[in-house]
Amino acid sequence: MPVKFVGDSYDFPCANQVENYGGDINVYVVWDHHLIYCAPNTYRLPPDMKFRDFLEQVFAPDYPQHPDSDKVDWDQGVWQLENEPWEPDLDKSFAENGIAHNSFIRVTTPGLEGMHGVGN
Amino acid sequence: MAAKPRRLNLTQKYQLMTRGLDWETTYQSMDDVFPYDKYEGIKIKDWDKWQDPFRLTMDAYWKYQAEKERKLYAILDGFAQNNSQLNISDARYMNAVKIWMQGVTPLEYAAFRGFAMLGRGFRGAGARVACQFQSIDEMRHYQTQMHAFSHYNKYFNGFRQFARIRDRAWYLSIPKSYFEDAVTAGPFELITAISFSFEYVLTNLLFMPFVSGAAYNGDMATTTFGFSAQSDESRHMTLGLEVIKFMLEQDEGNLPIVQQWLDKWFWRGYRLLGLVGTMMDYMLPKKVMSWRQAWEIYWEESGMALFNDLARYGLRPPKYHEVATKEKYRITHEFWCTIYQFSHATALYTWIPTEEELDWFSAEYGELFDTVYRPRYEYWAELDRKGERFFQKRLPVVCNVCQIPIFHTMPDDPLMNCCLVSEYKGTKHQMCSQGCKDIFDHEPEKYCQAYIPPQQIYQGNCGGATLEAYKEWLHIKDEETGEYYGSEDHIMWEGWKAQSGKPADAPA
Ligand SMILES: [Fe+2]
Ligand SMILES: [Fe+2]
Repeated sequence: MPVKFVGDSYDFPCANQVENYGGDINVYVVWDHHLIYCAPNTYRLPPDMKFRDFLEQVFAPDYPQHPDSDKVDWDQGVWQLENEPWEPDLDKSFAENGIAHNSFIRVTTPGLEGMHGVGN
Repeated sequence: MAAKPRRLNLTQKYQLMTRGLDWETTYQSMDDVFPYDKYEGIKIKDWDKWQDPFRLTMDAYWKYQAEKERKLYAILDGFAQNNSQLNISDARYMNAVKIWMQGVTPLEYAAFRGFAMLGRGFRGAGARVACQFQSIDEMRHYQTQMHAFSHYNKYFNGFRQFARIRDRAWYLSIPKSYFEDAVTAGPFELITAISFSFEYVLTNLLFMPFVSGAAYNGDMATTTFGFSAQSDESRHMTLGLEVIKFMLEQDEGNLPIVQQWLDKWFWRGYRLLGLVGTMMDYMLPKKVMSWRQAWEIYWEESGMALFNDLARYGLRPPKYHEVATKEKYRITHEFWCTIYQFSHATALYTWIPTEEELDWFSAEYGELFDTVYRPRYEYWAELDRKGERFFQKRLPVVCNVCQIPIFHTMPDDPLMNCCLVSEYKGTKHQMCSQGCKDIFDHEPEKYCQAYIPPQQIYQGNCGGATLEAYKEWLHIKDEETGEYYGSEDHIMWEGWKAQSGKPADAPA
């Protein structure tokens, strides 16, 4: 059901449209079962960045105080894009992997499932 | 002998001074004079059927309120003169008051504006008058809270620029966006959102525990304005119930519209109250009641009883209330973990609960607390002892509707973040829950405009893309953020206690 409004039209751009990022995109990524870090992270990145470079140089360093972060092997990751199973090629770019602006990526790493047996 | 001037009884006076002052316009059409009270689709056949929930005239109103003001300010003066800030339970408590000042007090002001709009917007005089009174009440609440807290501002950090951070800080966009969503709706949705969903259904979870929590923690300033506002609040609640009944009795076509508003505003109110529940569970050194228990009493019992009564109008309980009930064991812990790790970007201090407090949580929250959150706190405490206090430096994903970082977990899996996606005009939007996603999907044209702090920071609209640049833009200084132990508030408090001979940091 559309919004009800006063006047002739109700039409505004999305506040987070890709046009506002000067060629970059926003990407949202969560390493599941590492909940001492409370929420998925937000990144502004160039779409031609290689996915592996992002994971190793940007993403993993964002979990510095988690004991799993030194041990992670992203090639073993089990991935989801928009909550659907997904198999990225880590050596290709975001764009080549179909990761568009505001994509939501989750990864679990079998064998590295956080602390205390509860994904902390 | 001249006849004595005739005295009016209360009912006559009320009639003359409210509806008696109203008239049907003839030079202009009523639709032009009241242009906003039809577009939402609510049909009112007869405004005269409006039952005034309280028969108050302006002269009586001034008299009652002036009396309350006199008492309130006498107590506040005494409070300041007696250095009563020394009587609070512990300086950690002051962070509850900071959240109130930064997040809730500005809502009083927003409510003043909203009800001023309603006091002009409805074509029924009874509804207009009730909203005009409430508008003035809300302005008074805003002022009395600011005056009560101004004494604390002389000593404690976090109060000094509440208006600026209310507009700018990421965590205060939660209450801000809640109210802005309501005032940018039409008048019937606004009054349903605030008077019914918030003040009638959910306020017991907010106001009562906060005011009794304040009393229990020795904060007489807050307790006093709380009591001073109480008679206003009961008027507001009565208005909320009346407006729901009135809409449903006027036209059966109103039912689906009202039901959708109740679904929406229950969920938005519940999400907002998560912040208040967290404050009660974690920031009151002397505990009054846990969020879980408050939820059981005020929602599962009273709230459901209310909706049973309303079933005769065709209303059902709001969607996803079962999800809220499932979350009662986790929501405040998830919220505190989030504020704890982001408190370097707030005008608040956070800390790991004491041993006694952890035991209280175990007793109140049981197994989930002991298996998930207690070991998490123990891990963080260990890092802290090593001088590596845990902070999260990366910006989180934030829900496009409730504007809370997506720390919430899935209804049936408390170990997995819940992040749902809707696409509108080629742009994807993230939501924390099915409740928030339904709200987005119902009016994507509206929510696609939401000002989401991390997105705005990355777009370059908040001083810069680094945390330091963002904090500078907020005008938040390092000494008013982060860890409580070792903070300026903590050091000052220890000094006071040393002087007075009372033990410092006396736990609850
Ligand atoms: Fe109020
Ligand atoms: Fe949400």
